[in-house]
Amino acid sequence: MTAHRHRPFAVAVRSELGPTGGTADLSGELDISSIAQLWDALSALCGEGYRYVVLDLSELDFLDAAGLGVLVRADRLFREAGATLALTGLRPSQQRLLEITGLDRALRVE
Amino acid sequence: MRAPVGRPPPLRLRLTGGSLAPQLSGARHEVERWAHQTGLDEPLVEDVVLAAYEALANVADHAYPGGAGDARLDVRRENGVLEATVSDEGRWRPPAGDPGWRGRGLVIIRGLADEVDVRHDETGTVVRMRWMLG
Repeated sequence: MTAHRHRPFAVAVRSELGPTGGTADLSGELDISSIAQLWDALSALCGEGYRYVVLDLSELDFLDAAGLGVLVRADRLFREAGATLALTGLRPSQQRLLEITGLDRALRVE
Repeated sequence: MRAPVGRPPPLRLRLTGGSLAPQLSGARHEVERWAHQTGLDEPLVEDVVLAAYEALANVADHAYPGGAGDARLDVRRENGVLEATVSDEGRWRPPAGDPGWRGRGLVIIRGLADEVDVRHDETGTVVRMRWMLG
């Protein structure tokens, strides 16, 4: 979390991992007010036939329980479509949050 | 006892009105500002901010039908202990079996704070979180 500077949530997709793979850069604050934005972006990628999407969390300043809930549901959506969703660039506090909630064993972290 | 020079007084937030949810991020930023002013180090600031925020979010989600009602947050630093208390006058509902969208809030609170005490009765719920500053 960066002090005294609160960036709105944004998700930017880079299709650099081939025609069916991409990286989504998350930035700002992911909470109850922005989870729909992430869900819409990820379900669209899944619907478009992406097989492999990496979420880069390195610029994500805040992640709450609602944000974790969206990651879990998106992971489920991708699995059911035979696709893979992975997380990368986790900050130490985000890694700890996954461990506290046991999601480090459920979500794929690279 | 006088507080050390420059240390802010306890933070008291009262969230009232139609809906709590839109007030949550503002409350979170208030806690963050206060925590920096009181001289907490960065990893602890993040823990306190997230735990207090999750406790308030639980009130917004569960305490009142339709999400309308009051929530109070008090944060104080005293005698080497940082204590954050979130209280409401609503109904306590135990966490659901399927954590769903936000059901991990209490798990996160318990994981972040050194001590957590949850009390609920017919007058409402009080979640008290403490960190020993060492």
